[in-house]
Amino acid sequence: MDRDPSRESGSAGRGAPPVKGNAGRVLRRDLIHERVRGGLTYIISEDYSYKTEAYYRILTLEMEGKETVPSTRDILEAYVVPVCLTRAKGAGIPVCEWGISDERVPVPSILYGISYFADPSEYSLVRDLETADPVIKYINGNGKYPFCYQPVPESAEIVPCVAIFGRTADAPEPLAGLAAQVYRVFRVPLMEVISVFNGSYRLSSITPVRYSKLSRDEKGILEGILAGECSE
Amino acid sequence: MSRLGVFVDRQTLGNSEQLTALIRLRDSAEEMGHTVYFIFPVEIAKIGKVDGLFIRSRTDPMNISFVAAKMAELRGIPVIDDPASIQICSDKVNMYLHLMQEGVRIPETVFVRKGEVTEKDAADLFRELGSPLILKEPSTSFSLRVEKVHTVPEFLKTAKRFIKLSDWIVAQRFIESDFDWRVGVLDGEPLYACRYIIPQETFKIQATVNGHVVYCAVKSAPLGQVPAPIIETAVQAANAIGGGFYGVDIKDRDGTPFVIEVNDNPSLEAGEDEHSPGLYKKIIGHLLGEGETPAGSGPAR
Repeated sequence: MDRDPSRESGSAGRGAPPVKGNAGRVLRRDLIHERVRGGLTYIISEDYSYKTEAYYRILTLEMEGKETVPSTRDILEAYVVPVCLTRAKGAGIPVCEWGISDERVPVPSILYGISYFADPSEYSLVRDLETADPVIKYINGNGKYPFCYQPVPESAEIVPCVAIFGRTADAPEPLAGLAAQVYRVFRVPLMEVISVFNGSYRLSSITPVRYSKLSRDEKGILEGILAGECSE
Repeated sequence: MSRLGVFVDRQTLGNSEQLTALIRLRDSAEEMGHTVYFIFPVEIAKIGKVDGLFIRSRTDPMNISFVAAKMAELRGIPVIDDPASIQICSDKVNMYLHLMQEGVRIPETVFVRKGEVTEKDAADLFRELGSPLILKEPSTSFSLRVEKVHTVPEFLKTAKRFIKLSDWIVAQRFIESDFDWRVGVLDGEPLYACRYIIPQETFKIQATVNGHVVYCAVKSAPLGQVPAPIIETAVQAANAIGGGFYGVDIKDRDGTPFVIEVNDNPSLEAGEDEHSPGLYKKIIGHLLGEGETPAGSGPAR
């Protein structure tokens, strides 16, 4: 892998000096890494959400005609749960069943908000109607917004898994395979793949992941890629 | 003939004007021999069964209308508004970047980042853009989160509120006017025009003044009576976004047009199209491909 121009930026503003990549500071909170490899500009951030600094960094690169990984389109498709599952299913990835509701859901279900204020990291598993009610009131803004539900079997387990350029640190093979597939479709360099395991893994959502949440092995993978020691 | 889906939600049906507009839409489609299906969010899977989709609910990349647009696009169903138009128009930063790239005249504009909401940066902006200046949170619609600020403390107070919702916000030179032109453009063709008369109590088309909401008056205008530079600028601005259906807002300062914004999903319930009676049929014909190229689901232009 070639070592093309690279840069780091934070959200401190126009005059903020670049931060040199070195151990301990590479994954500082809010830092956005940029690497140009093979004609593509890779943006590595702990949060690509809509209207964040990383989102706008990618948008401005797109407006300059650069091909970025991820693109703003990738980000919106990844983080809006029903869109994510529709696109993933079309690409052959096993996904959870889902529906849209504004009030009632079958239980147990995983619930995700769909609104200006929604964040896919804030999902809830509701197992009975009594506990579902307050959760639904919260995510539907007291009846203002519809939301996404995913019915799951009683025995199902929600399994989060960090994927760094599609690679995982210690996930079992089927889950590692799912994470790699998800990266090939959505191209989000740093993400948490939320899956449901019930004999096999099914994609539930993709969420941002903070650098501080990475394990030592995961940090090692990411720092290695940023330093150009291993390929994406 | 064909099945037209109209995506609506509770808010769309929230007042009699919007209901009347939807009934006019349905009647126009039926006169053309089409069947109309109103699709609510909980029925979103039905989108796969229609031949064209017209979204009539508030659009934003984070809400259900974007899901509807994407579901149509992924199935190859022509849709207004297409997802890319929603993504661009719902975010003022994205929208102004597209307008600037195509050389569309807009008020002098600066994007302010989170780290730039400081006394020094505010003072620099007033020097650069004059006073007052306009601050916009990028997801604003119906003039919500658009404020006029006159001083550095006012700037800081408003900008700090907006920056909690977006890492970038918009600062613009203020252009005073009694009205905004609104020109509706479909796939590069002007369809209708009207004036939004700014209420005396405010500088926006809609505002809360002393606890009361004041709205602009809407005066429809025949396209032939609209100054040519306004129409040309509207088409140029719409084309900078894509090939969908847009409402372009323009201020005329001494004969020079400035685009204030390009709206996807433009309102049609306040008489905007009074002088353009065939409006709905043109939109439906475009979506369902009657004698014209179907809209497609992308904004390519």
